[in-house]
Amino acid sequence: MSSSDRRERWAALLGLGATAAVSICTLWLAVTGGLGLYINPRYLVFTVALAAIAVPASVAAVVVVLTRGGAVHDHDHDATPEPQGREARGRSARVARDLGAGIAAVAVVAVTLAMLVLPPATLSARTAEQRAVNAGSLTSATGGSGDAAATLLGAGTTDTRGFGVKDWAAAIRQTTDTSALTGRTLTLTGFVVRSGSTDSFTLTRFVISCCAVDAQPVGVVVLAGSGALPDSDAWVRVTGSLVSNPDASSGDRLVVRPASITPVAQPKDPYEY
Amino acid sequence: MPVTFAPPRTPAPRTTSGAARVRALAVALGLVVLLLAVRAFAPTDDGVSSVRVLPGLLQDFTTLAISVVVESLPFVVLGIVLSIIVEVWVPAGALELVLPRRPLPRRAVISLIGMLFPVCECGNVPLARGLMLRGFSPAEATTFLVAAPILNPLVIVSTAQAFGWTGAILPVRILGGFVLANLVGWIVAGHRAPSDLLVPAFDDRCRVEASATRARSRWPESAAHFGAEAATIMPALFVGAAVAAAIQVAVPRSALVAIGSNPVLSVVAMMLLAMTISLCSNVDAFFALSFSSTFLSGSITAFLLIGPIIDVKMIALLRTTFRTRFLVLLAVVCVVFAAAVGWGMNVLV
Repeated sequence: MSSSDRRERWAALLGLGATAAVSICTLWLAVTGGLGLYINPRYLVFTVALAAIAVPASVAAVVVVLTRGGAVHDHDHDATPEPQGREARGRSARVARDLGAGIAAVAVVAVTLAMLVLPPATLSARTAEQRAVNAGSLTSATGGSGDAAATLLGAGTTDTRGFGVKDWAAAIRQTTDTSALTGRTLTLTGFVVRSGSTDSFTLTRFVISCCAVDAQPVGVVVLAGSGALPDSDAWVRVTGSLVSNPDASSGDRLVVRPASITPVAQPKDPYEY
Repeated sequence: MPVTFAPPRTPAPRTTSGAARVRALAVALGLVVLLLAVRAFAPTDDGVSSVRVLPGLLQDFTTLAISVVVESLPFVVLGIVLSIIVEVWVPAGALELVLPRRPLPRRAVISLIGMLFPVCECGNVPLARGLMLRGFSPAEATTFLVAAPILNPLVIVSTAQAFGWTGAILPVRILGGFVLANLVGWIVAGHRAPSDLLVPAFDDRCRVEASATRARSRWPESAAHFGAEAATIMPALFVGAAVAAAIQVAVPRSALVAIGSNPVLSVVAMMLLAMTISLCSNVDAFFALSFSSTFLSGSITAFLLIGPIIDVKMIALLRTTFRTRFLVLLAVVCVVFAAAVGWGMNVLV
């Protein structure tokens, strides 16, 4: 077996091992309910179906790779000699190629291992701050109850029990008449982002349309008072009512004055859609 | 615990005996059980203490990289499966029979293949490779590669759901994708030696496959093809995911979003966002929609045109097949085209 055959065989086993590992982790996440940490549940069935195909396909391919003994695909390397020009380009090109392959192998192994052995995790408050809470303008963007935000402004009787952080954040941002919302009571669950303030925090959720990469943070400001500020990243349930922001220079015209702030466990599905 | 991807083994003989195959199957299944066991017994989040093993920055990087891989892998697998069908199962000459012979109409029809194979951009790379192994020219494969992530039913429907059938964004995306694909195909076809645009290893493989006889056992061939494509595509996917995640962690998104209302700069900002975020074209419309009140429609359209073709994940995947000089050409053509369309819309609409 030539060295290039051996290299090809290891590359195939690495690629197939990673395919199998990621697919197995995907199926495991789907079973344990953790897949929502990474992708929108809309794609659950598709993702699971293809992962279920990938596992036996990888097994079959590993069998072929192991039993063929040589190259992954059946061709004779001697039949296609490297042209002189390529040969002459020589050592530096080969070193560069090996280096590239090495870096790629490290990326494959590192991400695969992370998926295999680390607890699945959601994004942190750090990313929420870095993406600027409420920078995008999620209203009806991801469908669903976001549309209700507009109706809320007019009618005093709208049922807001199903409202999430996204809906309230949209309503607060869109309203032209803040008095229509003042005094409304709400109960919301989210994680804490403390952007340097000493007496308030932003109760935040990530909204994802496809997967965690596109997560956009939305939030409402909670005037907790300097004594009762929870830690960043902590999950809390806040019950309170909307009041005008005492800080008139702030962009957030309405804030929550909390009646209670209760620490809670991170929800099984930490995102809104 | 460390996971070995392949067990130690003695060099297997070239000929395949039944016993060797059984042994290999046992090894492969053992690998699956091992991976499953590792995942099942590794620590999980108990939901109360919210275990954070890694420091915040590294943890977010890991979550983002995994999410790109989890999101893309099904499309890559689907793309490989379709490329196996195209390369191994569709009889020789069947595809070629229905295609026009003259280059321009031929590429125009090829740019519509995506309507039959609805995979997004990461699945298109293995499929385009399968088409070239079948004997498609690089120009034809590139036309398909650029067109299919936009001209396919899933993408059209999701874009319509996000932006509606009326309005300019959907028709301009569809028409723009078609024109851009055929423009790129025409440029590649004009190259004096298009096979110079391919990486040598793949070019060699195309030549070998093209001259290979078709008498063979299809199932082992399919499995071998899956192995070859996984070996090539998976490292690229992981590198692409890691780069996309690193950019997300390092560059504050607020910096890009801040320039939404400037008609010239906002096109640039949305294109940069598309190139760094590496979203799948099946879903990018929903993401783009959330910027529609701050960004002009031309900027949104530029995002929807460039995103499916040029982004960091896609570049990593394309590098498996195409040389750097081709990728530079492709990037320049696509960026100029998308920017021109975006600016034009911002001025006219």
